[in-house]
Amino acid sequence: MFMKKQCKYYTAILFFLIILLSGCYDLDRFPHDKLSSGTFWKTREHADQAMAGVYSMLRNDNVFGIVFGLDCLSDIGTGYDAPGYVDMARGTYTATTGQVVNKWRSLYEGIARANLVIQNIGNVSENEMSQEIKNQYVAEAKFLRALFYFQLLDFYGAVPLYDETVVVAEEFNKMMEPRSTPDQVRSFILSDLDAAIASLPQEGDYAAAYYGRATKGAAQALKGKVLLFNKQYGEASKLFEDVISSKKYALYPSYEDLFKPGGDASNEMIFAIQNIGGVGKNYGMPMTWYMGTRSSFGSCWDNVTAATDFVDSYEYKDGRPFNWEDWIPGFTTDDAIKDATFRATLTSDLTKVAKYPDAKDLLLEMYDQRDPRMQQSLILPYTWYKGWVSNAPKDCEYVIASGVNETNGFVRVNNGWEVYLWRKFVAEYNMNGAITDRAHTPINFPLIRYADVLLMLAECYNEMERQDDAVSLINEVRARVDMPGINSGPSWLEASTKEEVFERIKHERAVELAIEGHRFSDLKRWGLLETLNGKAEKGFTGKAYYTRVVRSRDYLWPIPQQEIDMNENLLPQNPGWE
Amino acid sequence: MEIKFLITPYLIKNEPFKGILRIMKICFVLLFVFSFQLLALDTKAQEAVIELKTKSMTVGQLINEIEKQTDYLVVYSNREIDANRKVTLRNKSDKVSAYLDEAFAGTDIGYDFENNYIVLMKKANRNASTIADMIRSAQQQGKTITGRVVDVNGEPIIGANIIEVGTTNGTVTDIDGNFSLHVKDDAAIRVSYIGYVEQEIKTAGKTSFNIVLQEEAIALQEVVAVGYGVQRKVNLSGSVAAVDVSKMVESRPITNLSIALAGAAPGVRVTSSNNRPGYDDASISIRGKGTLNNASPLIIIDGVEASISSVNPQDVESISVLKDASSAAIYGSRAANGVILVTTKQGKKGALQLDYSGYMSFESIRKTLEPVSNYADYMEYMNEGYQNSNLPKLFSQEMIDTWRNGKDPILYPNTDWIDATFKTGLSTNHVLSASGGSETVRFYSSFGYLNNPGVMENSGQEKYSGRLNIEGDIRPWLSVGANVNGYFSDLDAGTDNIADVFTYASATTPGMVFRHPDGRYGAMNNPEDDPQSAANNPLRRLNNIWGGYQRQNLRTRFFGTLRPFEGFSVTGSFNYDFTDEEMKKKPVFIDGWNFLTNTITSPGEGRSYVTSKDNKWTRHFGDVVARYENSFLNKKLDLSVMAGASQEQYLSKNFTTTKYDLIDMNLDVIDATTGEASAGGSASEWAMRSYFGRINLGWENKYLFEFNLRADASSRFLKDRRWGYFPSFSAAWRIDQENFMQPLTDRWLSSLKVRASYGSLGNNSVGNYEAQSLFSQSNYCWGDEVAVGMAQTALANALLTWESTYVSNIGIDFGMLRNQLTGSLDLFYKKTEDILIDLPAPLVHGTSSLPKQNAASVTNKGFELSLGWRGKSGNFNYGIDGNLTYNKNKVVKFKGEDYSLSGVNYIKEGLPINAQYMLRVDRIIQTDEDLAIVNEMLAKKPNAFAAYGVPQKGDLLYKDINGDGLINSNDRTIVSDGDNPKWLYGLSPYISYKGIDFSALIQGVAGVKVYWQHAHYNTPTVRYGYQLNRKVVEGRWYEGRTDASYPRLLQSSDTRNTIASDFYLENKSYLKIRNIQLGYTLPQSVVNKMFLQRFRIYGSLENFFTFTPYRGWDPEVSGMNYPSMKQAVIGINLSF
Repeated sequence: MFMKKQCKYYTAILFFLIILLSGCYDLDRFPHDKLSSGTFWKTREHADQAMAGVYSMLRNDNVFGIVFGLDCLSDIGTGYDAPGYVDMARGTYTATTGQVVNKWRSLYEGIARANLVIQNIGNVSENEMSQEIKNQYVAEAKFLRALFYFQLLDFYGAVPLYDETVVVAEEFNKMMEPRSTPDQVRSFILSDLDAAIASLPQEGDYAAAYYGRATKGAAQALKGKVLLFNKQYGEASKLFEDVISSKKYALYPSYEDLFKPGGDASNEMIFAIQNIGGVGKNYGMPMTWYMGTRSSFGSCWDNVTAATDFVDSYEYKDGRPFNWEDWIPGFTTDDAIKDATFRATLTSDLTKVAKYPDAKDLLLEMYDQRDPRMQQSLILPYTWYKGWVSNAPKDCEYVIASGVNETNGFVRVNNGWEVYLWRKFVAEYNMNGAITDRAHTPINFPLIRYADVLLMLAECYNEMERQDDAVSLINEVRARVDMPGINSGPSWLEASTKEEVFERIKHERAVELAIEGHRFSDLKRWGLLETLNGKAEKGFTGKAYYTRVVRSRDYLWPIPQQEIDMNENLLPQNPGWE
Repeated sequence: MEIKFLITPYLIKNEPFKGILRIMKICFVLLFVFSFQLLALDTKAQEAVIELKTKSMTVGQLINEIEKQTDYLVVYSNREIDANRKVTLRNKSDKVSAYLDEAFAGTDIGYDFENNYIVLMKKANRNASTIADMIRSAQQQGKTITGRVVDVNGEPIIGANIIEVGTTNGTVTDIDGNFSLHVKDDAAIRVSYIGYVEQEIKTAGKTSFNIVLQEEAIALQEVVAVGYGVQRKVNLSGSVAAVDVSKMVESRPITNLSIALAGAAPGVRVTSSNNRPGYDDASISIRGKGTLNNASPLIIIDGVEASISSVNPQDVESISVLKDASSAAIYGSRAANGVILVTTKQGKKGALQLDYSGYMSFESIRKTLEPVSNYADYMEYMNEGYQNSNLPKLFSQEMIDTWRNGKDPILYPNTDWIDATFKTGLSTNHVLSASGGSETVRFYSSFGYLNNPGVMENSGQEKYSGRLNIEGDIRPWLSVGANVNGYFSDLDAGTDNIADVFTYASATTPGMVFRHPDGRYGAMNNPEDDPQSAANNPLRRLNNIWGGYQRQNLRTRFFGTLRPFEGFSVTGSFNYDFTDEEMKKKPVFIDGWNFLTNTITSPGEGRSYVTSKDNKWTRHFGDVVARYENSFLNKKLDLSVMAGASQEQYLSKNFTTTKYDLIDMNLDVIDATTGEASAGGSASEWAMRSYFGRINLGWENKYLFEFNLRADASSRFLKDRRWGYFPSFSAAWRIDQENFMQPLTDRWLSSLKVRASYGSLGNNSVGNYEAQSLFSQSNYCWGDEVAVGMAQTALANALLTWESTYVSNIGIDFGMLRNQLTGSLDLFYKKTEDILIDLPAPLVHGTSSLPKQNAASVTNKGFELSLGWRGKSGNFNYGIDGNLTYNKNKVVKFKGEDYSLSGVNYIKEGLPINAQYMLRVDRIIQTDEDLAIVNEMLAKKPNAFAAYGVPQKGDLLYKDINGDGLINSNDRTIVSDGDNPKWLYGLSPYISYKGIDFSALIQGVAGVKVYWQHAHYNTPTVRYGYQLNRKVVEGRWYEGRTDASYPRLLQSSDTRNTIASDFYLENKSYLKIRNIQLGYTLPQSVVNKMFLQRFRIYGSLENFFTFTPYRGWDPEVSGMNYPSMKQAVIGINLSF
């Protein structure tokens, strides 16, 4: 009896234990959406994925994502908030300012990703990728690494160098290198670019699915640019000449369409950030968001607008310098006249223009007589813009009046400034459905294009006292938009001395490359940055919006404070920032 | 008498607990009846020995002696027995039967023992029926008394014992407190009930009694839940705080159990950092911050890890907070921050009972920030700031004048954004619960409904919750049961936008009508104002989404217990917890109007879409626990052993789909759209396996010893770093039990115990996959198509393992003056080693997130004191409980001389965690003399102010801490000990008089100074389109002013006065009166007529008064977030 009873109990206990412990939960768990490093680096696909990871850093806001906004630090643009680099423009930034910190950090992230490719590409089996292909991938990573380091050199000067011998995953808190000298950084960049030039395919040699990846021509052009920035004109010119003589590149016939789908993938683009848009594939840059108006797709912010003086610098079609006094006497000296020139009033219900300014027709006529790039790059008062309002296309007129609103068919500037607005790179309508998010404009953004190379070569030639060669290159760029050549006859087009030709190059780079993010670096390398100090940025109606503060220390940004807090080897801080 | 330990002092003292009390009373009745039977069976009166003073006496005298010295009544007939007959007995001491034999030897009288009676009668007449008759008639002698037993409040006491003194004759009171008992004419009765002072009452000359029992202070008789079991509080050797929650939740508007802990126990810090309906888990920390990571304690609800919000507060019976290593170590790797054990109500044997409690609460925010609401003033301040920054004025004088003269509030609004955004909400809560049980089945069930609309629009929550706890005894050796509970909650879609409101509310200006009386929403009326802020109207933002969240939660626990032999049991359980959160949303396109021009200036636009999202969380948990309990060596040695194993796994997954272009804006599902779609989804999981055990030894109830051990293995760590072992031991000495203490314990000392413990705990607060090196997506595009990119966005550390915390604790518990004064004092020293820390890395590592590393050590030292007094005088009861905690933490090992700096949070050896590191402000430069200091410095070093800009009049002058003549980052210094308060305190007084009760809860922290800077709420900076704080602008410096409390106004990109400095160091100490309540319980006579057992009505003020020097929103909330609400509550508690 006793035994029987006990048996019953123990059977039950056992039963419990079995039920509860038979199904042991597995303690090895892996994420469902990520690849483990142990299983990565097996196939060419993996190599492509890691490479795309490097490229994706290009689009980062602190790398080239809002590079157009950097024009606000030059004579080309005005702006506000972070995309307009307001802290830098007004001289209020410090070593803790977000953009100072994040640019540094993001560029090194790009470098780390490039290093990772170089470190690991060897792990992919020979069947998947031949040594030749692997070399090509290494070259591509080096091109990108050079691009990142060149930015660091340009913005921070002497920076520490980390190459593929550093395994970030293991050494992340021991990365305490001191700063290398600018020359060391530069030669590191150049040697990366030499490797890239040696192994990268030429433009057009990539499969269509790989369109947008770095080419030999891109590496040559970048190397030329690096040398040009170091005033090694002769050596730079050879590389630019190589790019030209490869015959892989040409100016796209239409300047206007160059910055729209189609032109943005033309062979003028030597190296461009590839942008796409659309639901589920929003991988673009925020040009529309930060340069578009309230009338643009997604209702945008105008953080980056054009400097009034810059717009006034567009020549007449015949190459003469523009002068307001030719059109509106007293304009340049009297703010009241400026205001009257542009001011309209709306009807009381704000839906229509009650009274256009008397000068409206005059203005439109004046625009037509200017360098065509002006109207192609800018939304000017009383011109039209293809807006997108209340989920429908809407043609909007840029009327300067109180109470304008996109719902009534007007261009409305987010911050209310009366300034010229960018048209270039900004979405029109909804780009036939291609844009679904204002932060992702599906227009490839050039980092180096053929016109830039022509003008950089012109600069080299000019410095090498080959003014005629320089002028012919400038003229090539001007010819695309039917602007008369330098030295083509009229006195106002004459330029013979190095200084005169430089002025032409300076002008041509501004109008040709406006809002492509080159100008701040150009002014720095030309030593002209401080000429902006004290410049009051005014709207076309004469209102002043802010005054620039530029000091000699602004040629370099400070090393981020938190980085110095972490790594004292980075001292001394950049001059003027101590 | 183990039942006694279930009664906590609150239960006895306090009205609201009648429900539970009643269940206990019923149990007690049953137990009483049961014990009577035991006595009856145990009769051995014949063998009982009595002592006599003389050997010679009458029969009557002998009978009296027998009755006196035994429990027996002697029954006889006077006709048959001559009580005056003298007898002489042989011995002075003998068995009852022997005396009876002697006394009636030679007579015809015989005797019988029958139940409690000795029947004397003629042998000839003796048979069963005549004996019974004799007894019956004997019983009819004496008298029948009736009466009612009530407590001081007139509440009936059910199940009180009424015993005729000197006999076993007795009864218990019924559900109305009534009793009736047959006693001898001159009998005395003894009335007793657990938790009340026993009374003896003479019945002579009376048959009806109204008996009022006084409560007894018995704090140390509680039992408290400990890990995998319960223990008498007097026998605890670890540091455990028991919180009687059921009291609080019955009459406070507690929607989340976490809030109930605030101020309730020493060492427990509760911060309601977010009070948004549905997301109002308060953050809890126990004994300071022992880690640089998540310092939240482990929450165990009915034995299983759970989210504290998953239990309906009204279902909770008690909470135990396990604070030291010995009590928490049984939870091993997750216990480093302490453990909170939540026990829900269980059914008890007894009559079925139905309770209802409900309240209405009027909620509003405590307005501590005053924006500039006069728009004309606002425009002038803005202009001033812009001009100070050499920028053009934003607003024209005509516009300012227009506004100043404008009267119509729709055309010329002067909106106070706080008043316009927050409303008074009316929240209601109802809980209906039923409980009861038979001999073999016990249950508790409840249904709750909460409707909390919150204080912002479209952000409320409706919640239905239910619970069934049931347990049945299948056989004496087997019982099984289940706890099933769950909730359904519906959250408004605007809930999603709340964070957004706090971000953007400051990005509006007083010149905006938030909403026109006709329902239209405003943009800006002033065309000169920032068009961008037109879209930031908080009411418009809250309402521009349609949809909501539906959360469904089901928690089940199935368990069975086997008791194969005395003292041994095995319990196995399987638990499944499932939460599903379904989100649906679509945009609502709301136009923003300029009411001045009566035009739409901010059209509601965008592409229409429907988003459908689903999150699922599941937990599986199973455990087996064996227990053995016995006494040895003459019951001197108590031994109990517990051993068990458990395993659990956590899975979470989600998917989301968005599809564009609704056919019609009234439709709301994916199939009603025609455009493109995007989808996303992911999953994450972790698992853990554990073995644990405990041995308790007790010697004579004086010396107590406990040993715990737990072993845990977690999937979060790689194989060879996976297992962690967490031992602990503790000992206690109940000094009051020693004989030598008798002189004291006889007088004023009621109890005294010292205890000590030491042990190790773990913390596994790392991500599920942080030990693994992984690549995640970072896409690009080539050839106009997406190119999948992979990057190491998170770096890994394969060496990751547990944090280990070692806690030493010494404590003393005492009670004095019949336990009217009770208290305990604990000293603790907590050292956490191998702290998982995001070791800072130079920025050159890139943007990938850093893995945690086991690197630092932190100590927490402090004490906890709790004291309670309860007293009474007549019908007047009063008491007060208080607790005080001091804690100081220190980083003892970090990176040697190196430090980490994240913002102003500074971590370095020798300093507290997150010491605040920043510049110090010397003064606001207000006068020319002040400015002369600046010029002097510039004269010495032209670049003296290069780092932050040269200050001018109205600006802050920072201190040159290192004296190098330069003001720069090298002048930063430690200005405060960090964000952990050094002092915590709580105080809860109560008073009750007859049916009226009053109580309060005061709670606070002290010794915490934290840096807080918010551009638009506490800095003198202005920004186009943003709000201004009135206190700041009114205190600003302007030319001619010398008593400014804030610097001059500057445009926000000029950071001269907003560099991190002690100007923005805020003292976040506070004292909050969390609750004040006044209740009235209707007299029983009235209630009975309503067919109720109990009716209490109360009013309470929750969170109404806050005293703090903090200048921000709410000292418990960091920065701007959903603040705690002031609530005025009216509620009732009913029992049927």
